[in-house]
Amino acid sequence: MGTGSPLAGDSPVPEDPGALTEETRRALAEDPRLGLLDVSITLRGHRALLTGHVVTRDRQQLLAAVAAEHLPGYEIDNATTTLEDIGEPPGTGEELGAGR
Amino acid sequence: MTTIHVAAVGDIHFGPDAAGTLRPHLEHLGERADLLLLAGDLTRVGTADEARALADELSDVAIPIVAVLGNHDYHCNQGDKVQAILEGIGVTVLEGDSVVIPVNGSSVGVAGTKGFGGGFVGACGSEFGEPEMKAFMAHSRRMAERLEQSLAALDTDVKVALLHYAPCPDTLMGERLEIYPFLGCYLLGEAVDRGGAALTVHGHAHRGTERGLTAGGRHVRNVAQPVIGHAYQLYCLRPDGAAADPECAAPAAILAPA
Repeated sequence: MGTGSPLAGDSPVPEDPGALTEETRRALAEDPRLGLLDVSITLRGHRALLTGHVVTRDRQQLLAAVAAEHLPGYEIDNATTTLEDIGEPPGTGEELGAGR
Repeated sequence: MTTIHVAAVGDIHFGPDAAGTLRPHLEHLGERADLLLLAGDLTRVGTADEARALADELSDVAIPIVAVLGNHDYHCNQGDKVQAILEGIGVTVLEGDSVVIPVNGSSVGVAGTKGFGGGFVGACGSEFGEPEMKAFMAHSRRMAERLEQSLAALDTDVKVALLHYAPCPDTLMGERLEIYPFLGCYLLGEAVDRGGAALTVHGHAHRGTERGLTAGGRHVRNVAQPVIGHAYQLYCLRPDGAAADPECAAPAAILAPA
């Protein structure tokens, strides 16, 4: 009966990018050196784009290293920001009426 | 009546590796604001070392500092130590209670709680089913109840609510809709409206939006550092809801009284 069911093929099942992203996201949150819950990981082609705010340059570098461990074969594009990238707010503030 | 200048920031996620990065931005804060509010997630994973690093950074700030803890500050089960270390340098750490700060003849009451998740109108959890689900929603309800009680007990010219979790969905715009129940709860918004807070600041939603309103039309600001893009944000409160103070040059829109 033909060549058999497509379910019976012996080629390896490609890794689901969604599952890979989620596994990496969990690793970044649960790694005691990082504790990062808000880094976004976008996989496009052979690149992995990381975005979010990670406070320090050390954490930024560690983030890239941990992500690379979990995303073998992907080129890491680390676009996260740190505290060094921000400053004091301009002006003297937003005026809000506070009448009860 | 005196204009009250409030500086606020959340989600600093501080630690020893960040030492020296925040202090330069706070050197002149006393010339710009009357009080500093810290909206939780003050540390990376809530260790005593991280709290000490932040306390060192804040120790020279010349104005009253009021804080709530966030979920990160509880991660290593050392929330009590984090609180004690910050209190050791004079920070008031609130959880279901309040503090009154006099400002040039006026008074500001700040009621604070971490708050919790649960979701918003039309998509909120309920105390039903497994013990874990009931405990989750009961925790959220208790936090909101204590916030409302704390606000109601204040008799000050201006009331401010200080939270970590969000009281309305407006300030979550930019976050994925699927995670809204983990970012805040409408019960907090109801507490703010019933308790009469003129301004509510919160953090937690790094990809959210700064400005929002409660269902009752009260100002809400998401001051998570990744959202505001600065070391802190500034707000000017007029207790009598009067027109803009010319010295208070807002970089953005002037809003009507709540």
